[in-house]
Amino acid sequence: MAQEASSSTSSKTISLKTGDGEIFEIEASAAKQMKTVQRLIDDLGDDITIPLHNVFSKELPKIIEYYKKDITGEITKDFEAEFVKDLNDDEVKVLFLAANYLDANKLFEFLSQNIADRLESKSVEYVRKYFGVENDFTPEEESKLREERAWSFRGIKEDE
Amino acid sequence: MTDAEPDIISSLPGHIIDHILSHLSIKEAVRTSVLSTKWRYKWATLPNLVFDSQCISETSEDLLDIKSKLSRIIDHVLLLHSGPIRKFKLSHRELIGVTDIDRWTLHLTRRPVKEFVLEIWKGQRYKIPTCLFSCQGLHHLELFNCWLKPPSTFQGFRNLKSLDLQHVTLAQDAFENLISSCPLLERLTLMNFDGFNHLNIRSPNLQFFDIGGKFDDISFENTSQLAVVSIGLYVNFESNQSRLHGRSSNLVEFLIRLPRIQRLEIQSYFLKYLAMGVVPVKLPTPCIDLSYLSIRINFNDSKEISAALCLLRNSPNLRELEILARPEEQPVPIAHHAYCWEEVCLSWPVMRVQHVRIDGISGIKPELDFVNFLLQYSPVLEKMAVKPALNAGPELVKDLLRFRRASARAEVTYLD
Repeated sequence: MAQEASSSTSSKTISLKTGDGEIFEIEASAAKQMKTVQRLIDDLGDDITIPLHNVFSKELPKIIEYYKKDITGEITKDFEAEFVKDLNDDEVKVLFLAANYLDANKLFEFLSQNIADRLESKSVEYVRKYFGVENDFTPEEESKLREERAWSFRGIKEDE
Repeated sequence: MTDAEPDIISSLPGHIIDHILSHLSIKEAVRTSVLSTKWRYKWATLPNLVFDSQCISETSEDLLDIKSKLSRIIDHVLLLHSGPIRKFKLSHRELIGVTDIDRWTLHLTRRPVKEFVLEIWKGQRYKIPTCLFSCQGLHHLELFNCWLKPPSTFQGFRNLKSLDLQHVTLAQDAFENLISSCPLLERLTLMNFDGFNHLNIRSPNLQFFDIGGKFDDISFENTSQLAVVSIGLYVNFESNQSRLHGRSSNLVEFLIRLPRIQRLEIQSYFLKYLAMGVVPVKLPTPCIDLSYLSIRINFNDSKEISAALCLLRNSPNLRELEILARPEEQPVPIAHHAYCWEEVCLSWPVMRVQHVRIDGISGIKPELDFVNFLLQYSPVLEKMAVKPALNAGPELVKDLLRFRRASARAEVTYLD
């Protein structure tokens, strides 16, 4: 009937089960933003609990929180700043990997930028560890490169 | 507190790392060349090069020193970079002397660059080198504090979709030629310009138009796709100075050329310009797509009020309205009769406005009449927010709350 369309038309919820066996509910409209979940729904139907083997109970609630805000159009810069404020670099990485697995584009983009911002003034050693990269330069090669690009090393807090 | 799966955490898949890489500043990206031999040239194919204040931390270094450092960095990066450059942005406070920028621009036109952004923060207008005008790969061009003098052989930018010019100097014919020879242009921003003051906008694909500056005249031709328009006329003119240029009604001519307009902002003195000539009650065709309207209005000028009402009357699908009162230094000589609201209210169509914002009113009669009118004729109004002028008295609130509302749900808030 002709009503004021003030609330979302679909209040259907989907059940998601994490890799460590916990179950979370999410609105169908939010699930649409996670392409992996949507594909599973298309294959398995929306009445079944969707299994997410590579996402765990630590990350999923945070992701659900993000998309809850997204469907009401309330994602602002302030919200995003608050969202990552208390997360350390490793926690962000885990969240980022989960966003990638779920094919949740908006969160993925936001976290890419956040990680880039976090790495901005970190040492080369830190970044290597973060990306899981093994250093195969000889000390001479490395110091020559560093000298050539000295301008890009200004302002870095070298640790260790 | 470490997690249970350290191995998953420690190594990110390649394509994901590339994605993060594309968000790094140029400084950080170059640094990744030291991570490992595989990473040595990864950064060099990044498509976007942005040189701004992040590149050089301005400490108390000598100005010449900063300039030469910035110059060397850009040379270094451009030389090592390989592959296409999609975006180049140069925006630094202490921008170097002219010759370096000319040289880099020439290099970029050979890459060929798609987005070119140049911001000269201070000093004289920088003269854009001729080579930029033959860069046909450009999709987006953004210039701040520049002087454009296209060569006589300039045939336009065939692929340009977006143009943003602020604080620029450009001759009248050069301006017209530029606009009309970019057939794919969709977005045009022009702020604070000199060298031309007749704006004849001929642009078949234009969708977004944002302008603020001093001009005598503006006209549109073949602009049926324009959906978002914001115009600020920063110069006041005497009412006896005609801005009609052979037209009988600026308002009618203006709206006829914008049949698909969805969002319209009329700023500074532009409403005064539109009110010149005849202000009709009904327009030849209504603005059926207009859903957002923002007007800067002088409530002491009854012609401006007429123009505003004409817009309201002929926009059946307007949802959001913003009214910004423009206080005049001296009141208009009282030849202005009290505005005849009875005539207006006869056969006034139902308005579907849901949100209204009113800024800067002080409580003079024409303002109150207008607000009263809005409240009475907006049966689906949800919110009206009123922000008073600094010199508004406390009676204003009382007056506003007195008015009858057609919409039982209307929430009127007073922000002070």
